[in-house]
Amino acid sequence: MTVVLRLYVAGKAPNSVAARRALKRIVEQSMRDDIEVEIVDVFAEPQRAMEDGILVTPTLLRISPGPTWTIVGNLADGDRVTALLELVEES
Amino acid sequence: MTDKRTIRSEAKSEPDKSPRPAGADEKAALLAEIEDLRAQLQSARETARALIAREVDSVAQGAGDTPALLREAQAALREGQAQLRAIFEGALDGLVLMDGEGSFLEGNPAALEILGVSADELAGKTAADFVEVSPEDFEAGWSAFLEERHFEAEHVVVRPAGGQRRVEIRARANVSPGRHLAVLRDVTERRRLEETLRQSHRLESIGRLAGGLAHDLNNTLMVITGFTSLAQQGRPPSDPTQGHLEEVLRAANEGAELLKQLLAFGRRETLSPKPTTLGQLVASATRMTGRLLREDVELVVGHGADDVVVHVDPARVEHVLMDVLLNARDAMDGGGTITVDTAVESVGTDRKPGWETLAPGRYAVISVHDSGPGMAPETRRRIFEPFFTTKEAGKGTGLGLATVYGIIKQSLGHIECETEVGQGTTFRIYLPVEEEPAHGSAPSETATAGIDEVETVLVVEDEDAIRRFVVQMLRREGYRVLEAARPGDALLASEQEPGPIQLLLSDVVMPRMSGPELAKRIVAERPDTQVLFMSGYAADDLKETSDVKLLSKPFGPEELSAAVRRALDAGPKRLARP
Repeated sequence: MTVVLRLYVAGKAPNSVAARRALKRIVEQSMRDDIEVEIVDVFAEPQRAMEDGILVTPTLLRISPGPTWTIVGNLADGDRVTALLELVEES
Repeated sequence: MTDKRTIRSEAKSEPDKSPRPAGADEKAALLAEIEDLRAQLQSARETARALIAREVDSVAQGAGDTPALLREAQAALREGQAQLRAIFEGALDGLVLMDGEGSFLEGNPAALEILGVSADELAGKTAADFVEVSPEDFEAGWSAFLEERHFEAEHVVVRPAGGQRRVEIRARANVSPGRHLAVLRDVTERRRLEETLRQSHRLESIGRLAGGLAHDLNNTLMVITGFTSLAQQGRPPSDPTQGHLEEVLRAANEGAELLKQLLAFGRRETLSPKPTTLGQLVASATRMTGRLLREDVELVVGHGADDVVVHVDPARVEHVLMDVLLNARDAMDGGGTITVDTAVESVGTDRKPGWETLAPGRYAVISVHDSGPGMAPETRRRIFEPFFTTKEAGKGTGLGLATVYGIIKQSLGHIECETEVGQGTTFRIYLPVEEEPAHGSAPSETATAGIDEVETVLVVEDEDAIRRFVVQMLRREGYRVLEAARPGDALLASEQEPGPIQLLLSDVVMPRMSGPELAKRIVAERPDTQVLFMSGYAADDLKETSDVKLLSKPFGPEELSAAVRRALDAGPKRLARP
């Protein structure tokens, strides 16, 4: 089942940059080709952030499969993201 | 995690069930709502966690339905940030944040104080701007720091505006991503005090060593001098060995002079303190030194506290002052000004290291400043050490300031030297102020009281060398000694002496008046005075009776000491000896 992730970032702010880097690495290391990642810059698309109720950046949303699951922060703790992916695999 | 998973899979599978029983729609809607609330709660919790962990960049303000939890988290975050800021600003140690390349981003007020820069000046600089280090070494050091994540060292920080501080630096890498923290502590004062303390301990031990050595050597020299004098006396003036013996005496006296200075440094010299005003000391020393100054050296004498009375041996302290003054003169090759002044300072219980020997109280201060080139720290450290001299070989013994140090210490004072290259040098001599006695007794009474404490011996001997030997010996033993070369002088001395004379130590055969005759006249005036004769001729007009004691020549220091003690102990008024 395809996993759809959406990462909200704030331009080149340090934690946002760290989160993008961390997510890229985690996805690569997962060796899965069924993960879609969308990066949304809140500065470029503030409306979308409002719609998704994004209060802080960086915020990672698992859009699909539902229900929506949220991880906030620089994703330094990669295990939490990996768990999010593995969870899907198992179910 | 397991629980959440279970709940979620239930929620997911529920809508797929078919056919739906009655009321299933309602149930499904309810479950969907629960699921939505769960997602919101999870999101809020997660957001709060990330905020507290400071993993976020921006917070959208004014979001309509910010959950209470999030608002609390934001408030906590703001409070936490304010607290961290206060700690940063208020830390007593210097704190600086650096980026990945080692450039300073920010420093707290303590750090700015230590480095001597403003916040703006600090930004963008690196440690290499404050510490003497080559760019390559800084690069290498920085890489090593990032790898080890830790750094600890003490460095001399050169402030951009001038001046140096000794700074203890401890740093930790990655206190937050890409941010490195260094803690700076100014240890300049602490190191200076430690150095002073080491210095004074060093001088203390050298002093003990030198003093002990000099004391022993001095005894040996006394014997040489004493017996050489006796040998001379025992031969006719025409004897060719007289010249040789004269040379022996001269050499021994030179040695004794050096030893005397060493003894002074080791604080073993006998001082005769009496109340003296600072003005007297300074006037006398500057008068004597004035003649020795070159025309290009100006001597300026201030009179800040000339009337203050100190209890010191004036001759020795004048000598000390002269030494310091001549030192100042020698420091100014190209001419200049020597400024002497007096003052009074209070020393409290919070004394600096090296000053512990100073009792708290009021101190008279004599300062001597020269406008010479000043001294380098290495020189400054060693100036009070014996045999340390910057003068060329043969021009100085290196004992001058060592002696000064010893005499001042023995006078319960302190000497301090302040110097910097290009700034001249200031010596400050601290001497305890003689506080006015409560009953206002005159200085002469104080002097008499002092005399009562030690036994007085009148030495009469026409041979200079032997008299010197005996007098020196007795003074070293702690006696107060009056000396006379002729019986007539002895009678005069006895008349002029206001205090008691416990012992008359006299030669037997002398021109004009014999020893026994002199003794008879003195004892007539002073019935309590004991008499001890010294003679090379036991058979002289003397009979050893219970009243008359004889010390046969030649005698050594021990014999002299024992005989004098015996004679005194036979006296009517025995005094407790220290």
